[in-house]
Amino acid sequence: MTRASVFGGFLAAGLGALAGPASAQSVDVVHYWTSKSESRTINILADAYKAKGGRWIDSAVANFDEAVAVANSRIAGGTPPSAILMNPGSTLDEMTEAGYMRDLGDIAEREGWSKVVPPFVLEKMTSNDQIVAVPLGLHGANWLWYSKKIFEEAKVAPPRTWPEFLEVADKIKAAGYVPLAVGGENWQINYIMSSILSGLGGPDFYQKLYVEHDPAAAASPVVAEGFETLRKLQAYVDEGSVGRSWNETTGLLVTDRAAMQFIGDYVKGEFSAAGKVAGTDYGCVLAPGTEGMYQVYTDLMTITAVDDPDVVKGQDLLVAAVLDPTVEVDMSRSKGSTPGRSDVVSEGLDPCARLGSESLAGARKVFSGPYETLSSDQMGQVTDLVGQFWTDRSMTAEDAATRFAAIFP
Amino acid sequence: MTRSKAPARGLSDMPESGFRPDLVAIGFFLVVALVFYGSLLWTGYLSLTNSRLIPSYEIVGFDQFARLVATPRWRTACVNLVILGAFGIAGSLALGTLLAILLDRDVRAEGLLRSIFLHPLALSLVITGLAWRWLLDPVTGIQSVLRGLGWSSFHLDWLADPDTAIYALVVASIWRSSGLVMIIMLAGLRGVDTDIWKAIRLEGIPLWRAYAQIVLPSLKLTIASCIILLMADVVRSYDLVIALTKGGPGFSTDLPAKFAVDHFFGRANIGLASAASVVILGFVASLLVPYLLIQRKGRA
Repeated sequence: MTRASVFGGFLAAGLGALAGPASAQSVDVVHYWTSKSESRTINILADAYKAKGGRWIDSAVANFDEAVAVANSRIAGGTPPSAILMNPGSTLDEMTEAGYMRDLGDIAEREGWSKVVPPFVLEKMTSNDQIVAVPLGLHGANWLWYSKKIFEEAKVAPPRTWPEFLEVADKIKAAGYVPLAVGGENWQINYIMSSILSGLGGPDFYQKLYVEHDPAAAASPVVAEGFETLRKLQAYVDEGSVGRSWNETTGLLVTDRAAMQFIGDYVKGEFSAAGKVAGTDYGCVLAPGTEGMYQVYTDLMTITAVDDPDVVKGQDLLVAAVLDPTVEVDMSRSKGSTPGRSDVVSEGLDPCARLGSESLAGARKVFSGPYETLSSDQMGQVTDLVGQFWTDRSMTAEDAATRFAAIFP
Repeated sequence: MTRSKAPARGLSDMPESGFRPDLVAIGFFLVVALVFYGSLLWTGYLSLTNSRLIPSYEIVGFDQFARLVATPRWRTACVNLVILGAFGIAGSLALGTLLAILLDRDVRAEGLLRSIFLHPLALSLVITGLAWRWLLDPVTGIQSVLRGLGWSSFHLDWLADPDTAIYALVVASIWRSSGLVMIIMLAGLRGVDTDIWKAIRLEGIPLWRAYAQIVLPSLKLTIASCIILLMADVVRSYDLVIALTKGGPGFSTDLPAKFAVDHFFGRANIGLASAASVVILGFVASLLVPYLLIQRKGRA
C-alpha cells in the first residue's frame, strides 16, 4: 500500500463521515443562545423538533454579531444554514433584499398566522413585504430593576421621572449603598442613554428619533438635556464599573450592594439563577418617564432560502415546532420573555412579566427597541459617542448633542 | 525556458517516491497568491464601495476613507497604536537588554532566570491581558490588596482613567516581550569577540561605557531584529486589548485592528472596515522599511 493510497483512504473516510446518513428531515440552526438560560431555551426547541421526528444540527456561535457573520459567510459560500436566530432590523432587511431569506407567506396564509400572532409581532416577522421568520419570544427593554432591601432601608419609592431619579439616588447614596449599577461598557451606557431620551422625550419623541430617524428630533434640545442627565448619573456609580459585564453588574443588585440597574428583562435569568424572586427580593418598573411605552426586542427564527427539497421539509417542520403553543410557552418561561403567540395561556407570570404582557396586550404603546430601529452602523456611532461622552468628562452636553445630531443626517 | 527545464531536472534528481518539491512550492505559491493577495485586492476594492452587510460593487470613491478620518474613534485608535508602539517597543528593548546584560555578567542560576523571564512569552495574549486586568482592577487588584494592608492612600486605577488605560496595555506588552528581547540580546552578547573584552579590560574602560559605546553598537543588527519582531507584535496586539480593556473606557484603548473587526462583524459596515484594513496594510508595509534598510546595509 503506497502512502498516497493510505492518504486517499483517510480522505474518503473523512468525506463519508461529513456527508453522513441523509436524514429525511433535518435542520441546521445558527444561533447565539449560549448562556445558561439561553441554551436551556434553545434546547426546549431542539427537543420539540426531535420529538416531531426531525434531526437538529446545532450551530451555536458566541454572540449575535458573530452568528450573523457566520450565517452570511455560509450563505455566500453556498452552504446556507436552514435557519438563523436573529432580531428584526436593517441587517435582516438587507439579507431579505439580497434574496437570502425564504418567503413563508403561503404557510402563513394556510395556517392563519394573522389570527394567532399579534399584528406587532407579525410586522416584525415581515421584511420587504415577505414573512421570513417565526417568533421565539419578546423581551422588554426599558426596564429599571431595583433591590427591594435597599429601597426599604433608604425609605424611597421607585422614581417616576428623571429629576425624581436623581433625588432617589442621593438618598440611597446617603444610606451608604451604590445607587446605580452600571458596567462601563459602551453599550451599557448607551442603554441608559436610550432610557433617558425615551423618558425625557416621551413616546412621540421616541417615534420621531429612533423609529423615523428624524433629523429635527436628533437636533432638539431634549438630546442635550439627556446628555446632561447622563453626566449627573456618573456621581452614583461605583469605582469598579469600568469594563464590567452586564451580568457581573447585576451581581451588585443580587448581593444588595447596589440599588438600581437599567437592563432588558433577560436579567431575570440572573436573578432566578441566584434564587431571587421578582416582587420579593427585587422589583421592576419601567424606566423613569417611560410609563407610557414598552420597548420590545423580538427574537426571531429566520428561515433561509434553499433549493434542496429535503432541507425545505426540515424547515417546514421547524416552523411548526416553533409555533407549537406548548413550545412557545415553555420557551418564554425558560427565558423570561413573552410568547410570540397571543392565543397561548401563560399562567403564573411574575409581576414583571405580567406588566410586560399587559403592555403587549394594549396597556401602553409598543415600540421596537433602539437596537432594532436603528441600523447597526448608526447604533454603533451612537454607542461610540455616548461611550466617549461617559469617559471624557471634559466633553460638554452641547458638544455631544451636536455630534449626536450629525449621526442622523 | 527555465520554466520547462525545472520539472525535468526535478524528476531525474528525485528518488522513486514521487515527491515533487517543485509542485509543493507551486501549490504554496498559488495559495499565497489567491488567498493572501486575492483577499488583499478584494478588500482594497471593497474599501472604495458603499458595502454594508453584504458586499456591494458600487464604487463611491474615497468616501469611506473620508468618513474614517473624520471618525474620532479611528483617530484615537491610530494614536494608541503609536503610543503602544513607541513606549512598548522602547520599554521592552530597554528592559530586555538590561536583563541580558545582567545575565551576561555570569550570574548564578542563569538557566532558571532565563526561563522565568522568557515565560510570559509562552502565555497566550488573552491570558496575559486577563491577568493584568485583574491585577490593575481597582476593586479586586493591587490597589485593594495594598489598601487592605493599611496603605489607604494608595492609588492605582489606570484602567479606569481613559488617559492612562493605554499605558496599562504598554505595561502588559513590555512584561510580555522583554523576555524575548533578553534572549535575543543575550545570544548577541555571547557572540561578541572575547578579544574585544580583553581590549576593554586592558584599556580600563568602565563597564557601562563598554556596553554603551562598544558592545551594544556592535549589535545593531540584533537590535534591529528585535524591533521588527516587536513591531509585528504591536500591530497584531488585538487579543491583548480584547482581554485587558475591550477597548475601554469608552474607546480610549481602541486599536486600528479592533476598529476594523468591530465594523466588519458588529456594525455590518464592510465598506468602512475595508478602508480601515487598507490603512492598517499601510502600517504593516511601513514595518518593512527598517527591514529593507538592514538588508541594504548588509549587502553594502
